[in-house]
Amino acid sequence: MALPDVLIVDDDRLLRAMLRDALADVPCHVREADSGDAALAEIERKEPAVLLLDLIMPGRSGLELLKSLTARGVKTRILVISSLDTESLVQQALADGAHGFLVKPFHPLEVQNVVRGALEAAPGAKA
Amino acid sequence: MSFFWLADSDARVLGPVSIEVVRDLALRGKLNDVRAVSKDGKTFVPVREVPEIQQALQVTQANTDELAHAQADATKQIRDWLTSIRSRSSEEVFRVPQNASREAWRAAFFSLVYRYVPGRLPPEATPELRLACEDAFLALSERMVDIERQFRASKPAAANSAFQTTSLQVRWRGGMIHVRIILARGDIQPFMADPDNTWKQDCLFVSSTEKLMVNTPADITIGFEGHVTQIHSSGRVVGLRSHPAAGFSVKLLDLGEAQRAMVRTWVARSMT
Repeated sequence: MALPDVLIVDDDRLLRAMLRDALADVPCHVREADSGDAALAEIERKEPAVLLLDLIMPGRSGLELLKSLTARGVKTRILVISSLDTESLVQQALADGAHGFLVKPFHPLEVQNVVRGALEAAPGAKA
Repeated sequence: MSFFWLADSDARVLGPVSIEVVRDLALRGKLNDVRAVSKDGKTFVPVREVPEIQQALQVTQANTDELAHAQADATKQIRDWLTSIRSRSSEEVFRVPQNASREAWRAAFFSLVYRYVPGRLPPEATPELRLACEDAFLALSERMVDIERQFRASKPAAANSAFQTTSLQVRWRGGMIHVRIILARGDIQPFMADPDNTWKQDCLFVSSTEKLMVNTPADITIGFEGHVTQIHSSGRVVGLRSHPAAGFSVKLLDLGEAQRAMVRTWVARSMT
């Protein structure tokens, strides 16, 4: 059975590498995108089960991508990863369709747990 | 309700967000590099042209002096910590028990190293703080490379597999020579190979058989293995050599103090 896809969307190459490493022990196929537009192309190619989304990016911002995906009705579980953890922004991200908000700096085990939970909650996951 | 898009000096965009979100972020000191604002996500104007945003951001400017002191303190703390770990074992540094699993080492490493990721520093971070973070990042990474190597010891590995060799791309495009070099750890040859044009003169020697003339314009990118910082600079060819290696020297024209400090530290570290 094919592994579920997790798409990391962050313009910071180092952050993407750290997230990929953090997910090494999670049974999933990790894909990467370095911008909102690249992420959209990846999602159109194949909708991932989980998306880890940075909020500040060149071009299409994370919040714009989030709104766009929500409007399209994608089934992907979207987890925002950001250091901008003010209550009002977290609330906005959740209202815009995010399923979770992970604060930078994060512990890799925290990422693993959150992604495992999101994978279990994703449509098509085994009950 | 009005929404805003905020762009930083790297043209990275946050938005759309409400003015309340902007105020909250500014109060928490999380908006230190807003350079342009948009009300439609398409047309960006300088911050001064959007009074409500300018007002919301000014609260952070009042803390500039406090920030400078905090950065100096943070730099000293990192330097002191780096000195203190020289004589300590990796178990002590990463705070893991002896015979810890690979996963435990990795978790401890990521938890610790993330504090020093230079990419997380705000743009106004001082060069001293940036360098201290890079040194800490490198020191921890080097220890982790050794630890990973121990775990891989049972598997056959290529000699020095943890270390990359310097990679070099030289291309002629748009009337100038484009050089992209990623220096392997310990490689200072490009800064020393041409004794007439060394790093002390802001020069870089590029090993290449490309036929060039003195004064040819150049576009240079230098990466440093284990470091996030890269140097981007325009330059001019100032010397041509055929022995002992064919190549040309470029004078880097856009170096600031932070970039010079990066090169100086790289050379000094490799010579010790």
